[in-house]
Amino acid sequence: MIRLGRAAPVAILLSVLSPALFAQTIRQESSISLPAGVSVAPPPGRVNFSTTLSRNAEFFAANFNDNVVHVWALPSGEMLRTFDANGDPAARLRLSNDGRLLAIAAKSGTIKVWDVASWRVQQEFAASSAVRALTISSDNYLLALATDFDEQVWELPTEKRLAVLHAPFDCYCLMSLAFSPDGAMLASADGDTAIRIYNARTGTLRSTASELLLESLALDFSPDGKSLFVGGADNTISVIDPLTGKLRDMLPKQSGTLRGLVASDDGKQIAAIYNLPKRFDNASISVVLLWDLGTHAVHARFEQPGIAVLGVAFAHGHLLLVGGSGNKLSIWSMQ
Amino acid sequence: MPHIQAAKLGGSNSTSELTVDHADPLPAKENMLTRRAILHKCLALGSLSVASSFKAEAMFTAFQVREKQPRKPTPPNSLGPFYKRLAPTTGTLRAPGDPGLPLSLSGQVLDTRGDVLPDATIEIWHTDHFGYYDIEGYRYRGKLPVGASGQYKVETIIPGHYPDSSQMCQHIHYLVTAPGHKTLVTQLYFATDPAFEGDPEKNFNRDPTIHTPELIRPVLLTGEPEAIHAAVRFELCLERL
Repeated sequence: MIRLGRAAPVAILLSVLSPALFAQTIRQESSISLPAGVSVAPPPGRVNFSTTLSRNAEFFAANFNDNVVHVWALPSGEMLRTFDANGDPAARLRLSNDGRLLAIAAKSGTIKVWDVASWRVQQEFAASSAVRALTISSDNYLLALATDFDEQVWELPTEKRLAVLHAPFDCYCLMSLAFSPDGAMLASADGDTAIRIYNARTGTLRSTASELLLESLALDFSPDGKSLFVGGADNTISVIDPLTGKLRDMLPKQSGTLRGLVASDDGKQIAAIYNLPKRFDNASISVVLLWDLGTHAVHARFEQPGIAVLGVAFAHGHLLLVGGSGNKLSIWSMQ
Repeated sequence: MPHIQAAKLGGSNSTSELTVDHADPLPAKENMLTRRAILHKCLALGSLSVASSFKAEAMFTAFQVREKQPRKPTPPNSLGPFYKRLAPTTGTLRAPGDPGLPLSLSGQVLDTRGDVLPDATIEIWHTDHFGYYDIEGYRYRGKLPVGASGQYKVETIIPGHYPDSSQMCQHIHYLVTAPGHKTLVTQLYFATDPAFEGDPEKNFNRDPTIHTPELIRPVLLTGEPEAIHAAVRFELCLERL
Protein backbone atom coordinates (compact mmCIF):
# COMPACT_ATOMS: atom_id res chain seq x y z
CA MET A 1 0.00 0.00 0.00
CA ILE A 2 2.87 2.36 0.66
CA ARG A 3 5.59 3.48 -1.66
CA LEU A 4 8.43 4.82 0.37
CA GLY A 5 11.32 7.11 -0.33
CA ARG A 6 10.85 8.39 -3.80
CA ALA A 7 14.54 8.79 -4.41
CA ALA A 8 14.17 11.23 -7.24
CA PRO A 9 11.26 13.35 -6.25
CA VAL A 10 9.78 15.59 -8.84
CA ALA A 11 10.89 19.13 -8.26
CA ILE A 12 8.59 21.66 -9.74
CA LEU A 13 9.44 25.27 -10.02
CA LEU A 14 6.35 26.99 -8.80
CA SER A 15 7.20 29.88 -10.99
CA VAL A 16 6.21 27.64 -13.89
CA LEU A 17 2.75 27.22 -12.40
CA SER A 18 2.46 30.82 -11.35
CA PRO A 19 4.91 32.90 -13.31
CA ALA A 20 4.41 35.99 -11.21
CA LEU A 21 5.47 34.18 -8.12
CA PHE A 22 8.65 32.76 -6.76
CA ALA A 23 11.33 30.25 -7.33
CA GLN A 24 10.12 27.95 -4.58
CA THR A 25 10.68 24.25 -5.05
CA ILE A 26 8.36 21.52 -3.99
CA ARG A 27 9.41 17.95 -3.60
CA GLN A 28 7.23 14.90 -3.33
CA GLU A 29 8.52 12.96 -0.34
CA SER A 30 6.31 9.91 -0.57
CA SER A 31 2.95 8.69 -1.73
CA ILE A 32 0.46 6.31 -0.22
CA SER A 33 -2.13 4.23 -2.01
CA LEU A 34 -5.30 3.85 -0.02
CA PRO A 35 -7.67 0.91 -0.45
CA ALA A 36 -9.98 1.01 -3.44
CA GLY A 37 -13.10 3.02 -2.73
CA VAL A 38 -11.41 5.24 -0.16
CA SER A 39 -11.46 8.85 -1.24
CA VAL A 40 -9.06 11.54 -0.09
CA ALA A 41 -11.33 14.45 -1.04
CA PRO A 42 -13.72 15.17 1.81
CA PRO A 43 -17.28 14.37 0.83
CA PRO A 44 -19.37 17.44 1.65
CA GLY A 45 -21.36 17.10 4.79
CA ARG A 46 -19.59 14.02 6.10
CA VAL A 47 -19.03 14.76 9.74
CA ASN A 48 -16.99 11.62 10.33
CA PHE A 49 -14.31 12.65 7.86
CA SER A 50 -11.36 14.03 9.73
CA THR A 51 -7.63 14.46 9.29
CA THR A 52 -4.91 15.75 11.60
CA LEU A 53 -1.26 16.62 11.08
CA SER A 54 0.94 17.05 14.13
CA ARG A 55 2.48 20.50 14.44
CA ASN A 56 5.97 18.99 14.43
CA ALA A 57 5.15 17.44 11.02
CA GLU A 58 6.01 13.90 12.15
CA PHE A 59 2.59 12.21 12.07
CA PHE A 60 -0.57 12.34 10.01
CA ALA A 61 -3.83 10.59 10.92
CA ALA A 62 -7.00 10.38 8.89
CA ASN A 63 -10.44 8.87 8.91
CA PHE A 64 -11.67 8.81 5.34
CA ASN A 65 -14.83 7.14 4.09
CA ASP A 66 -13.87 3.61 5.15
CA ASN A 67 -14.44 4.23 8.87
CA VAL A 68 -10.86 3.23 9.63
CA VAL A 69 -8.42 5.61 11.32
CA HIS A 70 -4.99 5.40 9.72
CA VAL A 71 -1.83 6.84 11.26
CA TRP A 72 1.28 7.46 9.17
CA ALA A 73 4.81 8.63 9.94
CA LEU A 74 5.99 11.65 7.95
CA PRO A 75 7.60 12.33 5.61
CA SER A 76 8.19 8.64 4.84
CA GLY A 77 4.51 7.75 4.62
CA GLU A 78 5.10 4.60 6.65
CA MET A 79 1.84 3.34 8.08
CA LEU A 80 2.07 2.99 11.84
CA ARG A 81 -1.35 1.92 12.95
CA THR A 82 -4.99 1.52 11.98
CA PHE A 83 -8.06 1.60 14.19
CA ASP A 84 -11.27 -0.07 13.11
CA ALA A 85 -14.45 1.71 14.02
CA ASN A 86 -16.11 -1.36 15.56
CA GLY A 87 -19.52 0.17 14.98
CA ASP A 88 -18.61 3.58 16.37
CA PRO A 89 -16.87 5.53 13.62
CA ALA A 90 -14.41 8.27 14.45
CA ALA A 91 -15.85 11.73 13.98
CA ARG A 92 -12.88 13.91 14.93
CA LEU A 93 -9.17 13.28 15.25
CA ARG A 94 -6.46 15.39 16.81
CA LEU A 95 -2.73 14.81 17.16
CA SER A 96 -0.94 16.78 19.85
CA ASN A 97 1.62 19.34 18.68
CA ASP A 98 4.51 17.00 19.54
CA GLY A 99 2.76 13.99 18.00
CA ARG A 100 2.84 12.05 21.26
CA LEU A 101 -0.93 11.88 21.69
CA LEU A 102 -3.73 11.06 19.29
CA ALA A 103 -7.28 11.89 20.42
CA ILE A 104 -10.04 10.03 18.61
CA ALA A 105 -13.59 11.20 19.22
CA ALA A 106 -16.12 8.62 18.10
CA LYS A 107 -19.50 9.49 16.69
CA SER A 108 -21.07 8.39 19.98
CA GLY A 109 -19.13 11.09 21.86
CA THR A 110 -16.57 8.73 23.41
CA ILE A 111 -13.05 10.18 23.36
CA LYS A 112 -9.97 8.02 23.60
CA VAL A 113 -6.54 9.57 23.94
CA TRP A 114 -3.84 7.22 22.66
CA ASP A 115 -0.15 7.31 23.47
CA VAL A 116 1.40 7.12 20.01
CA ALA A 117 4.64 5.48 21.18
CA SER A 118 3.03 2.59 23.03
CA TRP A 119 -0.37 2.57 21.29
CA ARG A 120 -2.10 2.36 24.64
CA VAL A 121 -5.19 4.30 25.64
CA GLN A 122 -4.07 6.88 28.18
CA GLN A 123 -7.43 8.48 28.85
CA GLU A 124 -11.00 7.73 28.00
CA PHE A 125 -14.04 9.86 28.73
CA ALA A 126 -17.38 10.77 27.21
CA ALA A 127 -18.73 14.03 25.85
CA SER A 128 -22.48 14.59 25.93
CA SER A 129 -22.91 14.29 22.16
CA ALA A 130 -21.06 14.08 18.87
CA VAL A 131 -17.80 16.01 18.88
CA ARG A 132 -17.34 18.73 16.27
CA ALA A 133 -13.86 19.95 17.16
CA LEU A 134 -10.91 18.81 19.26
CA THR A 135 -7.67 20.39 20.36
CA ILE A 136 -4.87 19.55 22.78
CA SER A 137 -2.73 22.09 24.63
CA SER A 138 0.99 22.29 23.83
CA ASP A 139 1.96 20.68 27.14
CA ASN A 140 -0.48 17.79 26.51
CA TYR A 141 -2.22 18.68 29.77
CA LEU A 142 -5.58 19.96 28.52
CA LEU A 143 -7.99 18.77 25.85
CA ALA A 144 -10.84 20.95 24.60
CA LEU A 145 -13.75 19.71 22.55
CA ALA A 146 -16.87 21.19 21.00
CA THR A 147 -20.13 19.28 20.78
CA ASP A 148 -23.44 20.36 19.26
CA PHE A 149 -24.41 21.85 22.61
CA ASP A 150 -21.34 23.08 24.46
CA GLU A 151 -17.59 23.23 24.64
CA GLN A 152 -15.67 21.38 27.32
CA VAL A 153 -12.16 21.55 28.73
CA TRP A 154 -10.73 18.35 30.21
CA GLU A 155 -7.59 17.90 32.27
CA LEU A 156 -5.96 14.88 30.70
CA PRO A 157 -3.91 13.45 33.60
CA THR A 158 -6.94 13.40 35.91
CA GLU A 159 -9.69 12.89 33.29
CA LYS A 160 -11.49 15.71 35.09
CA ARG A 161 -13.75 18.13 33.26
CA LEU A 162 -12.57 21.61 34.22
CA ALA A 163 -15.00 23.85 32.36
CA VAL A 164 -18.15 23.80 30.26
CA LEU A 165 -18.66 26.73 27.90
CA HIS A 166 -21.88 27.66 26.16
CA ALA A 167 -22.03 29.43 22.81
CA PRO A 168 -25.12 31.60 22.15
CA PHE A 169 -26.80 28.85 20.14
CA ASP A 170 -26.20 25.34 18.92
CA CYS A 171 -24.96 25.57 15.35
CA TYR A 172 -24.57 21.85 14.53
CA CYS A 173 -21.60 22.78 12.41
CA LEU A 174 -17.89 22.20 12.28
CA MET A 175 -16.16 24.52 14.69
CA SER A 176 -12.60 25.36 15.50
CA LEU A 177 -10.78 25.54 18.83
CA ALA A 178 -7.22 26.51 19.72
CA PHE A 179 -5.24 26.77 22.93
CA SER A 180 -2.72 29.54 23.37
CA PRO A 181 0.87 28.19 23.47
CA ASP A 182 0.98 28.46 27.29
CA GLY A 183 -2.41 26.72 27.61
CA ALA A 184 -3.89 29.66 29.50
CA MET A 185 -6.39 30.72 26.82
CA LEU A 186 -8.84 28.77 24.70
CA ALA A 187 -10.17 30.40 21.53
CA SER A 188 -13.43 29.19 20.05
CA ALA A 189 -14.91 30.05 16.65
CA ASP A 190 -18.65 30.03 17.27
CA GLY A 191 -21.64 29.73 14.96
CA ASP A 192 -22.71 33.34 15.49
CA THR A 193 -19.40 34.29 13.78
CA ALA A 194 -17.87 35.59 17.03
CA ILE A 195 -14.53 34.36 18.32
CA ARG A 196 -14.61 33.91 22.09
CA ILE A 197 -11.46 33.68 24.15
CA TYR A 198 -11.77 31.97 27.53
CA ASN A 199 -9.60 31.27 30.50
CA ALA A 200 -8.91 27.65 29.58
CA ARG A 201 -8.99 26.30 33.11
CA THR A 202 -11.97 28.18 34.55
CA GLY A 203 -14.05 28.78 31.43
CA THR A 204 -14.32 32.50 32.23
CA LEU A 205 -14.84 34.60 29.12
CA ARG A 206 -11.86 36.92 28.65
CA SER A 207 -12.73 38.65 25.40
CA THR A 208 -14.98 38.40 22.35
CA ALA A 209 -14.03 39.26 18.79
CA SER A 210 -17.31 40.25 17.21
CA GLU A 211 -16.18 42.18 14.14
CA LEU A 212 -16.17 39.19 11.79
CA LEU A 213 -19.33 38.77 9.72
CA LEU A 214 -18.81 35.25 8.38
CA GLU A 215 -18.03 31.98 10.10
CA SER A 216 -14.45 31.14 11.00
CA LEU A 217 -13.16 27.63 10.38
CA ALA A 218 -9.52 27.78 11.48
CA LEU A 219 -7.67 29.30 14.43
CA ASP A 220 -4.07 29.45 15.58
CA PHE A 221 -2.19 31.54 18.12
CA SER A 222 1.14 33.18 17.46
CA PRO A 223 4.01 31.49 19.34
CA ASP A 224 4.07 34.34 21.90
CA GLY A 225 0.30 34.11 22.43
CA LYS A 226 -0.16 37.79 21.66
CA SER A 227 -1.99 37.31 18.37
CA LEU A 228 -4.79 35.02 17.28
CA PHE A 229 -5.00 34.19 13.59
CA VAL A 230 -8.49 33.46 12.28
CA GLY A 231 -9.73 32.39 8.86
CA GLY A 232 -12.84 30.97 7.28
CA ALA A 233 -15.73 31.71 4.97
CA ASP A 234 -14.58 35.30 4.49
CA ASN A 235 -11.58 33.96 2.51
CA THR A 236 -9.08 35.93 4.53
CA ILE A 237 -6.88 35.78 7.61
CA SER A 238 -7.71 38.16 10.43
CA VAL A 239 -5.28 38.95 13.21
CA ILE A 240 -6.99 39.47 16.56
CA ASP A 241 -5.69 40.69 19.88
CA PRO A 242 -6.78 37.87 22.23
CA LEU A 243 -6.76 40.14 25.27
CA THR A 244 -9.23 42.66 23.85
CA GLY A 245 -10.89 40.79 20.99
CA LYS A 246 -10.08 43.71 18.69
CA LEU A 247 -9.26 43.13 15.05
CA ARG A 248 -5.65 44.17 14.57
CA ASP A 249 -4.91 43.28 10.96
CA MET A 250 -6.33 41.52 7.93
CA LEU A 251 -4.51 39.83 5.05
CA PRO A 252 -5.63 40.18 1.42
CA LYS A 253 -8.78 38.27 0.54
CA GLN A 254 -8.53 35.16 -1.66
CA SER A 255 -11.07 33.38 -3.86
CA GLY A 256 -11.55 30.29 -1.69
CA THR A 257 -12.79 29.43 1.78
CA LEU A 258 -9.94 29.18 4.27
CA ARG A 259 -10.01 25.69 5.79
CA GLY A 260 -6.78 25.51 7.74
CA LEU A 261 -3.94 27.69 8.95
CA VAL A 262 -0.79 27.32 10.97
CA ALA A 263 1.66 29.96 12.21
CA SER A 264 5.41 29.41 11.87
CA ASP A 265 7.53 28.93 14.96
CA ASP A 266 8.97 32.44 14.67
CA GLY A 267 5.50 33.92 14.24
CA LYS A 268 6.49 35.71 11.05
CA GLN A 269 4.69 33.50 8.55
CA ILE A 270 1.38 31.74 8.18
CA ALA A 271 0.58 28.82 5.91
CA ALA A 272 -3.08 28.72 4.93
CA ILE A 273 -5.17 26.19 3.00
CA TYR A 274 -7.93 27.64 0.84
CA ASN A 275 -10.56 25.43 -0.77
CA LEU A 276 -11.24 26.74 -4.24
CA PRO A 277 -14.84 27.53 -5.10
CA LYS A 278 -15.13 25.49 -8.30
CA ARG A 279 -14.08 21.93 -8.82
CA PHE A 280 -14.04 20.81 -12.40
CA ASP A 281 -12.31 17.72 -13.72
CA ASN A 282 -8.61 17.91 -13.00
CA ALA A 283 -8.87 21.44 -11.61
CA SER A 284 -7.21 22.45 -8.39
CA ILE A 285 -9.25 21.74 -5.31
CA SER A 286 -7.17 23.70 -2.89
CA VAL A 287 -4.32 26.16 -2.81
CA VAL A 288 -1.80 26.74 -0.03
CA LEU A 289 -0.33 30.18 0.45
CA LEU A 290 2.61 31.03 2.65
CA TRP A 291 2.09 34.57 3.93
CA ASP A 292 4.61 37.00 5.32
CA LEU A 293 2.80 38.64 8.19
CA GLY A 294 4.98 41.71 8.15
CA THR A 295 4.61 42.62 4.50
CA HIS A 296 1.34 40.82 3.63
CA ALA A 297 3.21 39.28 0.70
CA VAL A 298 2.80 35.70 -0.47
CA HIS A 299 6.15 33.94 -0.13
CA ALA A 300 5.12 30.68 -1.70
CA ARG A 301 2.17 29.02 -3.34
CA PHE A 302 1.25 25.36 -3.72
CA GLU A 303 -1.42 24.32 -6.16
CA GLN A 304 -1.63 21.20 -8.27
CA PRO A 305 -4.39 19.90 -10.52
CA GLY A 306 -6.91 17.72 -8.73
CA ILE A 307 -5.09 17.86 -5.40
CA ALA A 308 -6.93 18.54 -2.15
CA VAL A 309 -4.54 19.64 0.59
CA LEU A 310 -5.47 18.19 3.98
CA GLY A 311 -2.76 19.54 6.24
CA VAL A 312 0.29 21.79 6.44
CA ALA A 313 3.01 22.11 9.07
CA PHE A 314 6.32 23.92 9.41
CA ALA A 315 9.28 21.61 9.93
CA HIS A 316 13.01 22.24 9.90
CA GLY A 317 12.93 25.25 7.64
CA HIS A 318 10.42 23.93 5.15
CA LEU A 319 6.72 23.46 4.83
CA LEU A 320 5.32 19.94 4.81
CA LEU A 321 2.04 19.35 2.99
CA VAL A 322 -0.25 16.32 2.99
CA GLY A 323 -2.88 16.00 0.31
CA GLY A 324 -3.97 13.96 -2.61
CA SER A 325 -6.75 12.94 -4.91
CA GLY A 326 -8.80 9.81 -5.46
CA ASN A 327 -7.35 7.11 -3.26
CA LYS A 328 -3.80 8.39 -3.37
CA LEU A 329 -2.26 10.43 -0.59
CA SER A 330 0.96 12.37 -1.16
CA ILE A 331 3.44 14.15 1.08
CA TRP A 332 5.31 17.15 -0.25
CA SER A 333 7.91 19.44 1.22
CA MET A 334 8.25 22.99 0.07
CA GLN A 335 11.53 24.85 0.57
CA MET B 1 -60.31 29.56 28.32
CA PRO B 2 -62.05 26.70 30.11
CA HIS B 3 -60.26 25.27 33.05
CA ILE B 4 -60.06 21.52 32.78
CA GLN B 5 -60.40 19.83 36.16
CA ALA B 6 -59.80 16.35 34.89
CA ALA B 7 -59.54 15.03 31.42
CA LYS B 8 -60.43 11.42 31.00
CA LEU B 9 -62.42 10.16 28.12
CA GLY B 10 -64.11 6.77 28.39
CA GLY B 11 -64.59 4.24 25.63
CA SER B 12 -67.22 4.60 23.01
CA ASN B 13 -69.89 2.95 25.13
CA SER B 14 -69.19 4.81 28.31
CA THR B 15 -70.34 8.23 29.30
CA SER B 16 -67.94 11.08 29.42
CA GLU B 17 -66.08 11.49 32.68
CA LEU B 18 -64.69 14.77 31.61
CA THR B 19 -65.38 17.65 33.95
CA VAL B 20 -64.82 21.15 32.73
CA ASP B 21 -65.24 24.55 34.21
CA HIS B 22 -67.40 26.29 31.64
CA ALA B 23 -66.91 29.68 33.18
CA ASP B 24 -65.76 31.43 30.06
CA PRO B 25 -67.84 30.46 27.07
CA LEU B 26 -68.27 34.10 26.23
CA PRO B 27 -65.70 36.19 24.39
CA ALA B 28 -63.03 37.47 26.76
CA LYS B 29 -62.87 40.80 24.97
CA GLU B 30 -64.97 42.56 22.48
CA ASN B 31 -64.31 41.22 18.96
CA MET B 32 -62.17 38.44 20.33
CA LEU B 33 -63.72 34.98 20.47
CA THR B 34 -62.39 32.21 22.63
CA ARG B 35 -61.48 28.94 20.97
CA ARG B 36 -64.59 27.37 22.48
CA ALA B 37 -66.81 30.19 21.22
CA ILE B 38 -65.34 29.75 17.74
CA LEU B 39 -66.10 26.03 17.88
CA HIS B 40 -69.68 26.84 18.93
CA LYS B 41 -70.00 29.25 16.06
CA CYS B 42 -68.55 26.71 13.62
CA LEU B 43 -71.11 24.19 14.85
CA ALA B 44 -73.94 26.68 14.49
CA LEU B 45 -72.91 27.68 10.98
CA GLY B 46 -72.35 24.11 9.84
CA SER B 47 -68.60 24.37 9.31
CA LEU B 48 -68.13 21.83 12.07
CA SER B 49 -70.18 18.73 12.74
CA VAL B 50 -69.95 16.37 15.67
CA ALA B 51 -70.66 12.72 14.97
CA SER B 52 -70.25 11.13 18.36
CA SER B 53 -72.25 9.71 21.23
CA PHE B 54 -70.66 12.37 23.40
CA LYS B 55 -72.05 15.83 23.84
CA ALA B 56 -70.59 18.63 21.78
CA GLU B 57 -69.14 20.29 24.89
CA ALA B 58 -67.15 17.17 25.70
CA MET B 59 -65.91 16.93 22.14
CA PHE B 60 -64.93 20.59 22.13
CA THR B 61 -62.90 20.09 25.27
CA ALA B 62 -61.22 17.04 23.79
CA PHE B 63 -60.55 19.07 20.66
CA GLN B 64 -58.85 21.78 22.72
CA VAL B 65 -56.86 19.29 24.78
CA ARG B 66 -55.59 17.62 21.62
CA GLU B 67 -54.75 21.00 20.10
CA LYS B 68 -52.59 21.80 23.11
CA GLN B 69 -50.71 18.53 23.14
CA PRO B 70 -46.97 19.06 22.85
CA ARG B 71 -45.67 19.43 19.33
CA LYS B 72 -42.39 18.04 18.27
CA PRO B 73 -39.77 20.76 17.89
CA THR B 74 -38.49 21.31 14.38
CA PRO B 75 -35.38 19.17 13.93
CA PRO B 76 -32.13 21.14 13.86
CA ASN B 77 -29.63 21.09 11.04
CA SER B 78 -26.23 22.58 10.38
CA LEU B 79 -25.72 26.35 10.35
CA GLY B 80 -22.84 26.78 8.04
CA PRO B 81 -20.38 27.50 6.90
CA PHE B 82 -21.80 30.49 5.03
CA TYR B 83 -23.96 32.20 7.63
CA LYS B 84 -23.36 35.95 7.55
CA ARG B 85 -24.24 38.23 10.42
CA LEU B 86 -26.15 41.52 10.06
CA ALA B 87 -28.48 40.48 7.23
CA PRO B 88 -30.94 43.21 6.18
CA THR B 89 -34.49 43.18 7.48
CA THR B 90 -36.50 42.08 4.46
CA GLY B 91 -38.67 39.25 3.25
CA THR B 92 -38.12 40.10 -0.40
CA LEU B 93 -34.97 38.36 -1.49
CA ARG B 94 -35.87 37.94 -5.16
CA ALA B 95 -35.09 40.75 -7.59
CA PRO B 96 -36.79 41.11 -10.98
CA GLY B 97 -35.03 39.04 -13.61
CA ASP B 98 -33.21 36.79 -11.14
CA PRO B 99 -32.47 33.37 -12.64
CA GLY B 100 -34.27 30.51 -10.95
CA LEU B 101 -37.79 29.45 -10.11
CA PRO B 102 -39.65 32.08 -8.07
CA LEU B 103 -40.51 30.76 -4.64
CA SER B 104 -42.96 31.93 -2.01
CA LEU B 105 -41.92 30.64 1.35
CA SER B 106 -44.34 30.84 4.24
CA GLY B 107 -45.14 29.34 7.61
CA GLN B 108 -45.77 30.07 11.23
CA VAL B 109 -43.56 30.09 14.30
CA LEU B 110 -45.01 28.20 17.25
CA ASP B 111 -43.75 26.70 20.47
CA THR B 112 -44.12 23.07 21.45
CA ARG B 113 -47.46 23.84 23.11
CA GLY B 114 -48.81 25.18 19.85
CA ASP B 115 -48.78 28.79 20.99
CA VAL B 116 -47.87 31.41 18.42
CA LEU B 117 -44.55 33.17 19.05
CA PRO B 118 -45.25 36.75 17.94
CA ASP B 119 -41.82 38.02 19.03
CA ALA B 120 -39.92 35.52 16.91
CA THR B 121 -37.41 36.60 14.29
CA ILE B 122 -36.50 34.49 11.29
CA GLU B 123 -33.23 34.76 9.44
CA ILE B 124 -32.96 33.03 6.09
CA TRP B 125 -30.10 32.57 3.65
CA HIS B 126 -29.42 30.39 0.63
CA THR B 127 -27.43 30.15 -2.57
CA ASP B 128 -28.34 31.71 -5.87
CA HIS B 129 -29.68 29.66 -8.75
CA PHE B 130 -26.15 28.49 -9.56
CA GLY B 131 -25.35 27.27 -6.07
CA TYR B 132 -23.20 30.13 -4.80
CA TYR B 133 -23.61 32.05 -1.57
CA ASP B 134 -23.06 35.77 -1.64
CA ILE B 135 -20.31 36.33 0.89
CA GLU B 136 -19.45 39.86 -0.25
CA GLY B 137 -22.96 41.24 0.09
CA TYR B 138 -26.37 40.05 1.26
CA ARG B 139 -28.10 38.61 -1.82
CA TYR B 140 -30.55 35.92 -0.73
CA ARG B 141 -30.08 36.81 2.90
CA GLY B 142 -32.80 38.40 5.00
CA LYS B 143 -34.12 38.74 8.50
CA LEU B 144 -37.74 39.41 9.39
CA PRO B 145 -39.88 39.61 12.51
CA VAL B 146 -42.96 37.41 12.32
CA GLY B 147 -45.56 39.71 13.90
CA ALA B 148 -48.62 38.98 16.00
CA SER B 149 -49.82 35.98 14.02
CA GLY B 150 -46.44 34.27 14.04
CA GLN B 151 -46.70 34.03 10.26
CA TYR B 152 -43.85 34.75 7.92
CA LYS B 153 -43.62 35.11 4.17
CA VAL B 154 -40.50 35.34 2.03
CA GLU B 155 -40.31 35.94 -1.70
CA THR B 156 -37.20 34.36 -3.18
CA ILE B 157 -36.07 31.69 -5.64
CA ILE B 158 -35.42 27.98 -5.30
CA PRO B 159 -31.67 27.81 -4.64
CA GLY B 160 -29.35 25.82 -6.86
CA HIS B 161 -27.25 22.80 -6.03
CA TYR B 162 -23.69 23.44 -4.90
CA PRO B 163 -21.53 23.46 -8.02
CA ASP B 164 -18.94 21.09 -6.55
CA SER B 165 -21.18 18.41 -5.17
CA SER B 166 -23.93 16.16 -6.35
CA GLN B 167 -24.59 14.98 -2.80
CA MET B 168 -25.83 18.18 -1.20
CA CYS B 169 -29.49 18.86 -1.92
CA GLN B 170 -30.97 22.30 -2.54
CA HIS B 171 -31.67 23.93 0.78
CA ILE B 172 -32.56 27.10 2.62
CA HIS B 173 -30.97 27.91 5.98
CA TYR B 174 -33.07 29.13 8.90
CA LEU B 175 -31.99 30.76 12.15
CA VAL B 176 -35.06 31.35 14.31
CA THR B 177 -34.96 33.21 17.61
CA ALA B 178 -37.70 34.03 20.11
CA PRO B 179 -37.38 35.36 23.67
CA GLY B 180 -37.55 32.56 26.21
CA HIS B 181 -37.01 29.89 23.58
CA LYS B 182 -34.09 27.87 22.34
CA THR B 183 -32.67 29.26 19.12
CA LEU B 184 -33.46 26.99 16.19
CA VAL B 185 -30.85 26.42 13.49
CA THR B 186 -32.21 24.29 10.68
CA GLN B 187 -32.58 23.86 6.94
CA LEU B 188 -35.49 23.41 4.57
CA TYR B 189 -35.15 20.95 1.70
CA PHE B 190 -37.38 20.50 -1.35
CA ALA B 191 -39.24 17.27 -2.05
CA THR B 192 -38.70 17.93 -5.75
CA ASP B 193 -34.92 17.63 -5.45
CA PRO B 194 -33.76 15.00 -7.96
CA ALA B 195 -31.74 13.26 -5.24
CA PHE B 196 -34.95 12.05 -3.57
CA GLU B 197 -36.33 10.54 -6.77
CA GLY B 198 -39.81 11.60 -5.67
CA ASP B 199 -39.64 9.62 -2.42
CA PRO B 200 -38.07 11.76 0.33
CA GLU B 201 -39.21 9.37 3.07
CA LYS B 202 -37.10 6.64 1.55
CA ASN B 203 -34.24 8.58 0.00
CA PHE B 204 -33.71 11.49 2.39
CA ASN B 205 -30.29 10.29 3.54
CA ARG B 206 -28.79 10.42 0.08
CA ASP B 207 -27.70 13.82 1.28
CA PRO B 208 -25.52 12.97 4.29
CA THR B 209 -26.49 16.20 6.02
CA ILE B 210 -30.19 15.29 6.14
CA HIS B 211 -31.01 13.23 9.20
CA THR B 212 -34.80 13.30 8.97
CA PRO B 213 -37.33 13.60 6.15
CA GLU B 214 -39.27 16.09 8.30
CA LEU B 215 -37.18 18.91 6.87
CA ILE B 216 -38.10 18.01 3.29
CA ARG B 217 -41.19 19.96 2.29
CA PRO B 218 -43.65 19.43 -0.57
CA VAL B 219 -43.63 22.01 -3.34
CA LEU B 220 -46.80 23.58 -4.75
CA LEU B 221 -46.56 24.84 -8.33
CA THR B 222 -48.89 27.65 -9.37
CA GLY B 223 -49.32 30.12 -12.22
CA GLU B 224 -49.13 29.80 -15.96
CA PRO B 225 -46.43 27.68 -17.63
CA GLU B 226 -44.75 30.92 -18.78
CA ALA B 227 -44.78 32.33 -15.28
CA ILE B 228 -44.52 29.26 -13.10
CA HIS B 229 -44.17 29.88 -9.38
CA ALA B 230 -43.36 27.55 -6.50
CA ALA B 231 -44.71 27.77 -2.98
CA VAL B 232 -43.50 25.93 0.11
CA ARG B 233 -44.85 26.07 3.62
CA PHE B 234 -42.52 25.35 6.53
CA GLU B 235 -43.80 25.55 10.10
CA LEU B 236 -41.21 26.18 12.78
CA CYS B 237 -41.63 24.87 16.29
CA LEU B 238 -39.31 26.11 19.03
CA GLU B 239 -38.56 24.60 22.44
CA ARG B 240 -38.86 26.66 25.58
CA LEU B 241 -35.69 27.39 27.48
